[in-house]
Amino acid sequence: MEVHKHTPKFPLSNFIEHMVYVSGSLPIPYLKELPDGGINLVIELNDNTVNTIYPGESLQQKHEVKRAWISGVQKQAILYKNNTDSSIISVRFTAGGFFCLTKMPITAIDHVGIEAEDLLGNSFRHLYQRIINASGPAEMFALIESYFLQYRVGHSTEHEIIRFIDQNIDKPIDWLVHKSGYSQKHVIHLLKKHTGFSPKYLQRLNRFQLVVKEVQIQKNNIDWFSVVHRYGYYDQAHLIKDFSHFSGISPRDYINSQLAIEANSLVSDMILKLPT
Amino acid sequence: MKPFKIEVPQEVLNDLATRLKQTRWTDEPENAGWSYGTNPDYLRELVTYWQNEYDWRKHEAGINKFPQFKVDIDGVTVHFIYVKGKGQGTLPLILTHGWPDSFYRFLKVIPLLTESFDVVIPSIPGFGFSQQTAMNVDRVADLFNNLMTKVLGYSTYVAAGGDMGSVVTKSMAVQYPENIKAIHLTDVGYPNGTEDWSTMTPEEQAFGQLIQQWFFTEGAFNMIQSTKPQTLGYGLNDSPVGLASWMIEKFYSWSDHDGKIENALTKDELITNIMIYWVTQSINSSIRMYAENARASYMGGLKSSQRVAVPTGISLFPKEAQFPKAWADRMVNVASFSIMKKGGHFAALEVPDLYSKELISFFTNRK
Repeated sequence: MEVHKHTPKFPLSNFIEHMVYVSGSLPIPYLKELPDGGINLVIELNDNTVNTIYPGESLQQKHEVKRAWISGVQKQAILYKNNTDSSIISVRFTAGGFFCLTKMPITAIDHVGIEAEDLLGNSFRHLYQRIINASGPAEMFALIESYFLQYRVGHSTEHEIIRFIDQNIDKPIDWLVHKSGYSQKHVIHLLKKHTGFSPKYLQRLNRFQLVVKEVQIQKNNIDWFSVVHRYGYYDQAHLIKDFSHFSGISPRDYINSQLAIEANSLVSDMILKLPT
Repeated sequence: MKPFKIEVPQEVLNDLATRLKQTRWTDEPENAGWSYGTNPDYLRELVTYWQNEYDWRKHEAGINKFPQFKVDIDGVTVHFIYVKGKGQGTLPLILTHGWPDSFYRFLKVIPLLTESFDVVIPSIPGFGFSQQTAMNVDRVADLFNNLMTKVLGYSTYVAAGGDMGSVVTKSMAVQYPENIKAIHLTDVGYPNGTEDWSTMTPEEQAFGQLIQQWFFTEGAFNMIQSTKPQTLGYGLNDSPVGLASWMIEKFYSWSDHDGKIENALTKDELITNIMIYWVTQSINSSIRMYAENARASYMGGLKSSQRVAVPTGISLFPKEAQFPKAWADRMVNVASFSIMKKGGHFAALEVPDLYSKELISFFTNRK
């Protein structure tokens, strides 16, 4: 498996966290993408490959996507069927980044797996053609950067507030509201408009991501007792319930998945080995 | 709000035992005593006791006898002890600890206070079993006022504290005078160089000089915790002996014992307090609070630095930095000023009888 990661420079870095190119596949049936508060654009580089998403976790309900799709407002992990002939670029937007660039209302992307061309139109179709004809990942990243730089990337007070809240989401909500200079009602409205989430849900997501990072670093050496208290869980049962809500698996299974496949460290927002 | 009990997994205790056994000791100047910092002989004595005689389970059970809770306030989880007073008409009282102590500072006074008060003892975020989100004292004051009013439903209450707890308590009084009827402090804050010395009395100036001198000889911990806490954190979180050394030096320096620390605090008390930091791995976030306070001070000031208008009771214990009443008047609205005969910076732990009598006398006289 070949993996390349690219982090855009300012000002695009305010809107796009990173892009990851993954080519080749592991012998696994399914994989999962973890939520982190931002929206994900996935571009399939093999023109004829059809990808399958299971929006409700159950294998009964499936949704097929081609070429490129938007993850949508990702409240929980998304389950994908693993394609052996797939090469993808995943563009991970910052919280509120996709909305601020494209001005696409969050209500238009509130479900999983929306074809990018349906949302972004002809301009994206042209981009896609250029990407699949590109010589390698570096050129592909450059094309994607140029494409999104065409959107307005100038100063937006609203986006600055969203970024500030996202970067300080572990602080008390009252304080975040006070710092924003707006009323609580307006801050909640702004967050929903830009990210699709309430401040409370973003806090829970952030806490989940912090635990994920702890597991990735500590793996089997993790001290669950201190993790429970460090991140403000009431007890271990609370942590397990919250972790399962976002990932669909238990923290123990997540550790096992991390230990099972070395490549997991390359694509940290995915679970490559799901429990059987 | 959810009931909470401390139940440290055995593997955490086993890991601690291994680390204590494998301590890589430093060289130690002969007959150093406490003159270079922590006394090597005493630290070794304490660690030997920790390994062979100290029983965490006994102390865990002792803490768990008091009703404890965790609650999400504004997205931050706060751990607290909450003991309703006996009978009717008890005053709600919030007690705020400091560093390097913890909520444990007030454990011994709980039974002495419940005749008169509903006692609330939170862990500051970043400390012990509260979420490890370091924040400045003004933010902590917001959360604790919400704890008292929105969570526990008291429209008015009284507050007391020491060390960082004094600063939090002052901030609560400045920000929420409509809720706080009176506060009690054992220290009121220190000159920091921004005062206009021409307006200070000779006694205040002498106190200012004493504090300046103190910062040069004793204040290095404060400086590093306010500037580069992360540099310090890795060592303290990885070595129980390192953590103990960093903390017990303060307990030695700031408590009232005539040269033998155990005249003020027992080994069990010292170790239990250290254990609260160790098992939760909260030393790093606790010391980061100093940096958060320093940053907030530079970037617009803290509410806790403003003069407190709420009536304030002060008990000045002999091993506390001896501030004159004029200095206290400058910092707070002094309603009572008691000079104590015994006790130090950790009065609630050192002399629980005296400390609790001071609280009862001050607050109940103001009912």
